[in-house]
Amino acid sequence: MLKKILIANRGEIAVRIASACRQLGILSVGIFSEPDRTSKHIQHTDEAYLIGPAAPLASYLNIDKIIQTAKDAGCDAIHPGYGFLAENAGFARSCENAGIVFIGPHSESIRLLGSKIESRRLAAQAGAPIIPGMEIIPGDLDNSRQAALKIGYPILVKASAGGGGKGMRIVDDEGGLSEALSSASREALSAFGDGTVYIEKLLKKPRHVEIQILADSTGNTIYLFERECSIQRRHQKIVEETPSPALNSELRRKMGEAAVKIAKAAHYLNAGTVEFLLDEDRIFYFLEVNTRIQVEHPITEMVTGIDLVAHQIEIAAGAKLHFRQEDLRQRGHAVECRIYAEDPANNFFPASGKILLYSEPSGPGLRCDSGIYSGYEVTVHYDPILSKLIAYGENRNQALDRMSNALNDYVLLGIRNNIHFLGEVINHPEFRRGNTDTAFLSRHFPEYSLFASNSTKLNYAMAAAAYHSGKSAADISNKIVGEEHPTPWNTLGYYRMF
Amino acid sequence: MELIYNSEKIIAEISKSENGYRLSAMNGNLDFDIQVLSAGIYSLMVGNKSLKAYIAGNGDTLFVHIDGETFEFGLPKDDSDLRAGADSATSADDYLILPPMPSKVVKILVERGQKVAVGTNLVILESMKMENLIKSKVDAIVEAVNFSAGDLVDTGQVIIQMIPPTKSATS
Repeated sequence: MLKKILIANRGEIAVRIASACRQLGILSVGIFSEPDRTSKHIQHTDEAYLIGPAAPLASYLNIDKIIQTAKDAGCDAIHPGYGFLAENAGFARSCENAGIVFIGPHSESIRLLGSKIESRRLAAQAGAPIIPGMEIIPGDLDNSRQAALKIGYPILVKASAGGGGKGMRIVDDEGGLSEALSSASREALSAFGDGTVYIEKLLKKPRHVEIQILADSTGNTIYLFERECSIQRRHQKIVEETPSPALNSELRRKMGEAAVKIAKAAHYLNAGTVEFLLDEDRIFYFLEVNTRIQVEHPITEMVTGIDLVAHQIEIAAGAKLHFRQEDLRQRGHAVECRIYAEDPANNFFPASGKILLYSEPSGPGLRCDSGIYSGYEVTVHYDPILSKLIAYGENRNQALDRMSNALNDYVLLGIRNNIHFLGEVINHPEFRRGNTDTAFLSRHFPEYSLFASNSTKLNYAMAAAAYHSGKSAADISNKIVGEEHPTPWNTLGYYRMF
Repeated sequence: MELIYNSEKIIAEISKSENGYRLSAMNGNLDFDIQVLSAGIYSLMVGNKSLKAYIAGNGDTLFVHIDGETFEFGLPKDDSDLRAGADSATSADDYLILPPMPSKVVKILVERGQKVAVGTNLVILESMKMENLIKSKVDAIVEAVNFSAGDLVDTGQVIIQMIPPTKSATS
């Protein structure tokens, strides 16, 4: 078994991995950039090393520095989390060359699947349906213009090395093509260090449905069912659930088996996700493979009872999976909401600042994976994800009701965030009916206001605010008489010592 | 006390009443009882309706979470900070383009002297790995461009200065 793991990440996923290490009796090593000295993940790892300034290229993307830190700290493995270097084949290869176990697939599988163009070819060879689009990297604008005409507008410009919606643009007609190509390429270069983009046909009303897989070193490859992640803004998921309301057991099995075939064709090892788009006619198309743990992995853990991060570590250590496909069951329903520092009323623009007061909800079926606390300063340097709230229920309605109540109880004061917006999504009648597709938010929430229409609640808030301000500023204290702070001496009542 | 909510100034005063406190606000009175639970956390009772309130402020804004909603109240520094009511007409601020948060300038899309209309693309900013396209909210003429691609801009720094188009130009 592994003895010491460096976690090459930050925020909630680093906290999640550190807790898996502790559970397995493995020491964890955190890394942090200068502004992350007070980050939550550093409070959860056994050791912590400063690796550089705020800019990701100098810190969380600094391959040489991270490998050297792992060596200096005596680590035998590195867990990359998601984002940053998680899907960087060069990083995985550097780990392999340094004799450090990379917790993920082999560098060659990452390279193959990380290129959307090569992975598309591989999926087609494995028999999976693919979306019409370019299989070659467009050389210049004329090339792209001709290809786009052949495919037919609207089209999607995507980053070859991309993920998380970065470096992606919808183009409705030829007029927008040039600007979309250059801006997507710039964003891809900044986010992934590779500005290669390609184009493909935009499907009508597609759902995003992905299959979780696990593969051990003996080639035993299984699927842990689907996650539907259709609720997206800026092509980035914000609500995920499993099972998908759109799948029956036959389609689930077909998609699961297709995912396993693709994984086997890539000699896949460890946890991964095969993403598909499912169109209105329930035809699925291969999208891409994410060769890492996903943000939304907890909902699969809830319905299968399988700890994916612990299995990632065990598989990396050479362990065989102790269950087979036929042993797995989906039980109940789970939904996840991603809590972001962003303003839903201003085009989801990222927010930064200090979290003044923070309180996480709790109750039956709830889980909160967070990277924040009261007093934490959200900086502008990194992805604005703050935490993930997961609700489990016997069935979809119960899971959604629990989520709705939990979002109501989730207190995060000091920076704009999407908690209340997520509550409106969860309770939207079309979402409750399971009528979701990737354009759900732009269709049903074209406008969103932060300001309440309910004047009763506003009065409650003003009453509390005026009392709070009066207490702290003491400017109305003369109007308040007999005010006492409760202390143990006047709240405990009669007691005696033993 | 004065609070700003949805760009409007509201007055909220509380006084001690027979069984607790009374809020006197513009849309009526509210009798309530309130207890401090811990720093910034209160139990509020309105009749027998029981609510928990979370409150924190940063000097400019008071954040109140109650019954599943978060209210942001602006705290006026002095009266000159306040604009009368919510004006729907163009404000002087619309002619100054500032970043919504510290950002990097990716590309300036206009130049000095250029005429712009409502919706004209002005500048592409990048922050937290996201690109954000800033469009003009007004018809205007670009008077100055203070930054160029690659520059870092902080909140409060003016990237592009514009002036209203002349009357003769618009008529």
